[in-house]
Amino acid sequence: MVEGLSIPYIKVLRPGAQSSLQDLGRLGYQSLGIAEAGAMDRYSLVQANRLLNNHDNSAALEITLVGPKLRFERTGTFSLTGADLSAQLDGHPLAPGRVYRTEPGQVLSFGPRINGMRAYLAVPGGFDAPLVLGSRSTYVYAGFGGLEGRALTKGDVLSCLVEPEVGQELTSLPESFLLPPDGPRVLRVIIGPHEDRFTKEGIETFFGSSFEVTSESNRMGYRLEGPRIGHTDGPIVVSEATPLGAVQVPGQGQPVLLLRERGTTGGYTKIACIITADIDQVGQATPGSRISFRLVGLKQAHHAERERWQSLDSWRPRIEKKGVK
Amino acid sequence: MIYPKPLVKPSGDRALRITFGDERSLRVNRPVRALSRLIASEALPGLLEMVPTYASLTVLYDPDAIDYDALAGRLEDLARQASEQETIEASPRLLTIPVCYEGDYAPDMDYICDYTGLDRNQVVGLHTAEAYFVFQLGFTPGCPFIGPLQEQLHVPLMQSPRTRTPKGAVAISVGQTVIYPRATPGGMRIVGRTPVQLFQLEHPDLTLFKPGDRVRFRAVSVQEYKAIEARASALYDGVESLSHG
Repeated sequence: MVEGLSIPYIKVLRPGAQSSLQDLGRLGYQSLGIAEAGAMDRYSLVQANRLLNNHDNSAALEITLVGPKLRFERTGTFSLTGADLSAQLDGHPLAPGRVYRTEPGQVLSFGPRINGMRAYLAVPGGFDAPLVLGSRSTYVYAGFGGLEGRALTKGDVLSCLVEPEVGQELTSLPESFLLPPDGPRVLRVIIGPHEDRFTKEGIETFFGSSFEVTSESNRMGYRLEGPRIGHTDGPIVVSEATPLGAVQVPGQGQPVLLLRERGTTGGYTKIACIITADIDQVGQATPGSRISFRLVGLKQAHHAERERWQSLDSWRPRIEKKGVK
Repeated sequence: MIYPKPLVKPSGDRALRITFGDERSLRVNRPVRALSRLIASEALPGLLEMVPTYASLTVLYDPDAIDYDALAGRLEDLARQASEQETIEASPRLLTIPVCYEGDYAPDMDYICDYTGLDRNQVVGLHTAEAYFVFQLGFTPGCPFIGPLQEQLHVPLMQSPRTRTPKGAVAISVGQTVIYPRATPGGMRIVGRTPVQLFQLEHPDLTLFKPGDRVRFRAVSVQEYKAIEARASALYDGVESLSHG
């Protein structure tokens, strides 16, 4: 593949609710207040890229709940993974987890949500966007990255970094990698670091209850609602770093999951932190769905993360960048 | 308080937090900064990123490159050394920032005066009296947490945050001053506004402030604010004194 091209491929006819370019995110700047951004479901993003033999970190379109209407301007291919948002190409239904072929003028549209929350649309070579601090991810809340730091709008033209009409196999993802059907989610967590700021009953409530995802849920964080989690001495701590997936519990005793565009520091108690292997699931949880938490140790957490990537590698290993491991 | 011994514990499965105490003070922040420097001078494998804050340092690591126990052990040693170090950076920068404390630029001035029992001149006098310290950046890109604020200026957070705090708002609460680099929601009391830029992607520094900087506020009139605003398009424009010592 020849890189360094920028070939107009897709015209945005209707933007959808919140569609933005995302890659694996922007690392190394949290001490300046800059969160990672990047795909809310990295596993689905990487699947979309590997279906097209792209690098794992190529930028794809993250499509949230209400999908856009897109017109293809050239012959080429694309892949679709993650949520099932009733995608249709000129009226023909498309299942997630496959590579599709398109002709100029064909229109990709989306309908009612069937399963999951976020779909990923990748194109050969990835979408073109300026590299900002090493990433093409849109940081919506800070207003930079991706397409001028914003979600798609009508009239945008999305370009590929390679000629989209490269000989692509119309492969599909093995069924075991498809998004599991919606349902209550059990997220594994590491306890703390402020577990000693909660009452014994508060900790029992956290692990023994299920919480509902509210409509105040976005790329910054998810607010959950459920039985009140009691503090011993109030919710305020001296402001400190907020790791990705931290479960913060402010004054009302309701958990807030801190996600990819969160504030990088926070002054509320953190009862636990979701393990890396389970954070992608949050990105697929819809408002109204239920979440509960299960305690695990560090070794289990690290093992779970290794295992899910090894299992994806056994289907199709990642493409190594030249000169980069 | 300062903890008798630095506390090392996991913060999730890819971060480790070393805490030196539970207060927003220079004496607790000093070992945080010393530890950052000690770690930076060692080539620790698997270390991805450090986030220094008021009372703790959070270290992000790659669990495939280093074992948690090995990393925690090494960081405990370094944290002990950091606690024993006497000195802070030899010559921090001192940045002087123009702030207009008047009219619409200071929507919470009346509240602050009511709450503290000070008049406007006293509030401005205190806020511009001494060089403060930048403890951390956080919340949004380039947003500094500055302190410690004099006791007389301590005011509580708003009961319900504003949905929009303007860009450049200089706000106080919980013993600290924060400057909003762009318009965002915010729950702190706005005492004034600065026309200078705090975050610029095109500038190699990215952010005006770095943890460890000294900062002093200078009161300016509405007229002067507007004059600086007209020319302050890049980082450091309008920051009229930038010196070491």
